[in-house]
Formats: sequence, C-alpha cells, structure tokens
Amino acid sequence: MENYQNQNDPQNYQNSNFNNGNENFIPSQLPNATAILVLGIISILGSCCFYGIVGLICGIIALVLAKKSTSLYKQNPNAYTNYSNVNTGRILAIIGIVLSVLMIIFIVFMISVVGMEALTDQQLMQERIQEFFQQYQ
Amino acid sequence: MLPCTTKKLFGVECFGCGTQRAAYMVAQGNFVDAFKMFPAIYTTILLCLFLFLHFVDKKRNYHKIIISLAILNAIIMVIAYIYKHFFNFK
Repeated sequence: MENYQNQNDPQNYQNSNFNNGNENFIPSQLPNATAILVLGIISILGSCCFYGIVGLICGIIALVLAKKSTSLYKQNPNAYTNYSNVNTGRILAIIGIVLSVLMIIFIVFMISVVGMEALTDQQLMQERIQEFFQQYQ
Repeated sequence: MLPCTTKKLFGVECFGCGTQRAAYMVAQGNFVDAFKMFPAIYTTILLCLFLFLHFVDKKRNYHKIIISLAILNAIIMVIAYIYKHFFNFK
C-alpha cells in the first residue's frame, strides 16, 4: 500500500489500489473482514450466553464494521477479493442479533407473566404459565 | 460444564441450554438422546465444522453453506425452545 500513497485526492484513498490511469490493479483485502466474520460467529454462538447481551454487542459491532467495509467495497468492487467474508459475517451477525433480541424479549415476557419470585421455582412457574394461557382460551 | 447464566439468575432456560449436555451425549454415542435434549445440536456441529473448514481451506467457497446452516440453526433453536416451554408439559 505504501507505494501507492501518492494519490492526488486523499478522499479516494481506496482508489490507491489502482495504478493511476492504468487498468491493471492489485487486488487487496478489505480491512476488518476476518474481524467481522469472527464477531458474527461469536454473536451467533454466544447469543444465549449472559442474557443475550454478548450476542447483541458483538452483532452490532460486526454490523457497523460491515457497513463501513461494504461502502468501501461498493465504491470499488473489483479491487477487493474478500467481500464474501464480510457478507457472511454480516448475515451471521444479523441472525445473532435476532436471536439475542428474541432471548431478551422472552426474558422480559417471562418476568412480566410469571413474576420475579416464581422464576426459580419450576412448578410454580409452570402453573403461572398455564394460568396465563387459560386466560386466552 | 459451564453453567447457564440466564438460568442461574432468572431460572428461565435460554435458547442454548442443553448444548453442552447434547454434545456430551453425541460424544458418547447417544444420538437420539442428544436430539431430544437439544435438536439443533447436529446443525450446530455442522456449522462449527464448516466454519473451521472456512478458516483452514481458503481455496473453496463455504459462504452459502455457512449462511444457510446458520439460518436453519436459528430456526430450529427457536422452534424447539417454544415447543419445549409451551407445548411439552400440557
């Protein structure tokens, strides 16, 4: 990359992958691609740990990084070879966020239906859930 | 085995509860018991396998397999969880 930093416009520094004017370019790697993929994996596998917070945080970080990388890629699609890594990581992060949000919604729902004191008591919890469903039958 | 923090604090099982027990059962060979414990265990194992292959084997493209397995895994987890909690003990 250092050889191509004599670019006129500092805004388009991703164009530094191109030899200015010439058609031949050097394919390079998108920044953070592996990080996005790893964060997406942590987000989907860790979506249940720690009340869904780990999955949510990792997923959001992965989505933000993926948004940056995608805009970089869209400006110059031929210059990068590992966009599919970013895309996979992004989709894994979306799934992880969905699972985490479902987990959090479910915890809130259970607390509101069952009540805090019945949560650790399995039988009382089942009775309360059955009561809740019988209300709507 | 690692305890589930959600189950410890709230007493409610999370989507991933049973993964370790099911993995242990698979390692022992009790495949049916493992499926009953946590139905998404096989897609989870496949997902981990293909993620490992993705990092090791750079020549082939595993993206479509990984994405479809992840979506399938999430759907199975949610359906099994809802089934286990709301339809099992009636």
